[in-house]
Amino acid sequence: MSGHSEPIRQAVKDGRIQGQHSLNTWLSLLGELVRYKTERERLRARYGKLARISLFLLSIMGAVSWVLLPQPLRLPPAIFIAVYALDLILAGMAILGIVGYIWFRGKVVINDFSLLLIPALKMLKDDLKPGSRIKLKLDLRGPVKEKILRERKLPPGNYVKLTETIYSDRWLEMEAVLVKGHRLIFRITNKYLRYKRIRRNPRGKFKLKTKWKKIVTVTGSIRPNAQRLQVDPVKLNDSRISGKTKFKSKKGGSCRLSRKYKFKPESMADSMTVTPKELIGLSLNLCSSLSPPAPGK
Amino acid sequence: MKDFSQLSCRSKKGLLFLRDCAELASAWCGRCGRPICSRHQMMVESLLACPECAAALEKEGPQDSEYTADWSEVSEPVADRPQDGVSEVQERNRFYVEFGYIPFFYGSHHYYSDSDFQTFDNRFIEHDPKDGPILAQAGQTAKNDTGDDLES
Repeated sequence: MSGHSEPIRQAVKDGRIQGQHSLNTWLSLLGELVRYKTERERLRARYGKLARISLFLLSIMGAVSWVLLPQPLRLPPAIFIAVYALDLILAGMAILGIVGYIWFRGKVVINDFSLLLIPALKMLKDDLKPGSRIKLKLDLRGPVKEKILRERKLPPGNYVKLTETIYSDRWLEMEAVLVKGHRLIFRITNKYLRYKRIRRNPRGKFKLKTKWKKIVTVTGSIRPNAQRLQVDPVKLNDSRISGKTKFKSKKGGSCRLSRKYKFKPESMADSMTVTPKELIGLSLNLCSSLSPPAPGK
Repeated sequence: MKDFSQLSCRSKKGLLFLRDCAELASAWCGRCGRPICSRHQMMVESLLACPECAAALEKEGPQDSEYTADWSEVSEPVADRPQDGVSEVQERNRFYVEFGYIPFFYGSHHYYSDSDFQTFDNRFIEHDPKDGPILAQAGQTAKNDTGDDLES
């Protein structure tokens, strides 16, 4: 855990990282972030396991101690000392496990950057202008309280209570300079819909169930170098581009395409997101809308 | 041995915008004849080829290809060189087919593949003044990626 750089430690603590660096610097930073996060999660899981096992054994030993306690005279004192010493050790291990579990809790929750951003950057490496810097703003905290867009109670129907919480999480903003001075901009927003359902089972117990929905909106823009390429409205209307996409051509000669993807993750730990192929496909669609300016213009 | 000191690699790199690799060349592609650098030298069926030709050969499957490469031209051993350039080209072509993309090509226009026919449109070409002399020096006939002569 000690070999990691300060920006990475800070990113894991804050859940955010932003800056303007070269591709290699970003790849090394993000790679380090993945390793650090994985290492932290592994340690956290290990401490969690220690806490669970210790608490389980402690409950057994507690029961044994409780049985032994009223009959102090029938057993030799060494057994009492051993049992209570074991209780103390198990209690210590449980506390250590709980403290470690809390200590290694990072704020980096989502894995989208490692599943989507890193492979996409690697695919686009030869299209970037040599020596240029990529502007990146990542928010990796996932659905946290600050990102709640709306929270409301829905008509419960068969449930006792049904609440819907909507989170809007713009986790990626990227701007890169491509060869010949064209600019590629990406924004990805995850919209999380959380449904908390409370129902009463036939035994009369209340049961809580949480369901998630995730809607990923990818918006890509290309701002071509006007001397070399420009947005061609005819190409933009091609069904291959506009089929799945809501598009918008802006005034400044740039083209913007937006696409939505829906997922139904079992829990927030599920790493369901857009594939790098979709992101590259959107970039290709953006570039398909370009053509060289007419001669003489 | 031919002098490669004035030649740059004509293998294509990039995904959205194709352009020449431009590293110093150290051999010729045995199939299309373009100069290639050490990074882009692939071995397919004992033929020294550029990644584009290697990908095309792999797609076509095993065959009796005409061996034209002169081993004396190779400045460094290529036997253990990774063949990742081929998979890059194959992946690139898959993207182009799936998303119906015709790439923009910045660089030499003497070599082309099925997916970059925009190179024949003068509006898309950025002429390199060195192109003519390079071909004359190499004594090669311009070929496309399927090995057909452009002149025929």
